[in-house]
This record gives sequence, C-alpha cells and structure tokens, in this order.
Amino acid sequence: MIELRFHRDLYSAKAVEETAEAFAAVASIERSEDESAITLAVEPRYTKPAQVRRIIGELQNYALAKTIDEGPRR
Amino acid sequence: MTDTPENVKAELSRGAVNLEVDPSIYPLGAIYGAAYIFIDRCYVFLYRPSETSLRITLQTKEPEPAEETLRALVGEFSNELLSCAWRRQITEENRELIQAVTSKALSGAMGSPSLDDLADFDFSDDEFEDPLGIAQSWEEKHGRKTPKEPAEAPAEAAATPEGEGADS
Repeated sequence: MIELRFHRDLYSAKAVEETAEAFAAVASIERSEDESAITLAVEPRYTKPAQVRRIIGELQNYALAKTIDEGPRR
Repeated sequence: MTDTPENVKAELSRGAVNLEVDPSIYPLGAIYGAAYIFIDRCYVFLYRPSETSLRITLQTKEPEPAEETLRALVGEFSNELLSCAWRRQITEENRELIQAVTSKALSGAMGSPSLDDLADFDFSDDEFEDPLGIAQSWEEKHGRKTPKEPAEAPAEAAATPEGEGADS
C-alpha cells in the first residue's frame, strides 16, 4: 500500500477524483481527505516492483496533467 | 546535494531527484509549466513540505538511472523552471499589449466591413498638430526647395548687389 498525498493548493480535487477513477482497473484505491490534502492509498493489482513503480508514477503524472489541463489555479 | 542555484535545492536518491524551490521566487504556474515538459520522461510529483517551500520529485521512467542522468535532470529542470518563470513574467508585463493585438487580429478575421460600417467611417482628412514634423515626408523636410513664384523673383533680383551671380 502506497499513500500519495495531493495538496489542495497544488492539485485540483476534481483531477484527483478523475485519477482515482481512471486507475481503478489497475489498482485498488482508497480516498481520504483533510483540510489541506486529498490522500489516495494505492494498492496496485500487479505485484512486480517494476509494475508497481509504473502504476504509481503514471498515477502521479495523470493527476498533475489533469490539474494543469484544468487551467490556472492562481 | 548537487551544485544548483541557491534557490533550488536538489537531492539525489534512489532513481529520483527531489528539488525544493521557494514558491515566492518561482510561481506555481512556472512550476507547472516546467513539470509538464518533464512528464514524458519522468514521473513528477509535487509536494508542499512547508508554507515557504515546494518539493518537486522527478523519477525517471527508466528503472535504474545513472547518477549523471539524475544530475543532468536537475540542471535541465532548473533551466526550464527559470525559462517558464521568465516567460510568465513577460506575459504578465505585456498582457494589455497581447490582448490588444489579439482582439485586433480577431476583429480583422471577422471579415470585410459591411456597407453600414463604411457609411459610418470617418474619411475626413483633417489637419492635425505636428510640431516635430513627424508626418512630413523626407522630401518635404530635406528635399529641393520648390521654385519661387515669378512675381517674387524680380524683387529678389533687385535686392542682390550688382555683378553678384552674373556669368560675365
């Protein structure tokens, strides 16, 4: 289980939601949140280290790209 | 730590680079811009360890990168960050000009003016004040003087002393 903490002032909540949905097929994802961040607890459905590394990395990129595509935050 | 500018702290760890920057120097828009460029070759993650700093983690997509690759990544990212911050500042400073040029271009692309537009257009060629002679052509300003009116010529000739200007 890997926990990724997405700070609200860096990532859009909508982008993180969409990311969790998009990666549901390759990982089991539990979402929790607090005032400053949304946390995704990611458990990849694949076990090889290279696969896990790739799923986590692509998930990070997806959330960032979605956030940037949404437009300026400040 | 690697040799980077003082306002960018970099740390190499297993297959990844952590860069810590001051968001008051590099705005979030510039950080997004630089991060987006690296998305095709790295896994990028942003984190805020404190209010006054922002951490960017770059992890190469290739599993075990050489240390030189990571060092190069730090340098390239720092350059890109500076470039994005600078471009952003130029855009901010010239926002009004960019908007004016864009709206002019868009209005030009709307097609030729209608007959009503032409009817409303002010075709008058009124004189305007030009104390510095900016609207004058080069010929008007520096060219050969126009010949004087014939009525003025004899009076001028009489004023010149005798023999002066005569050929013989």
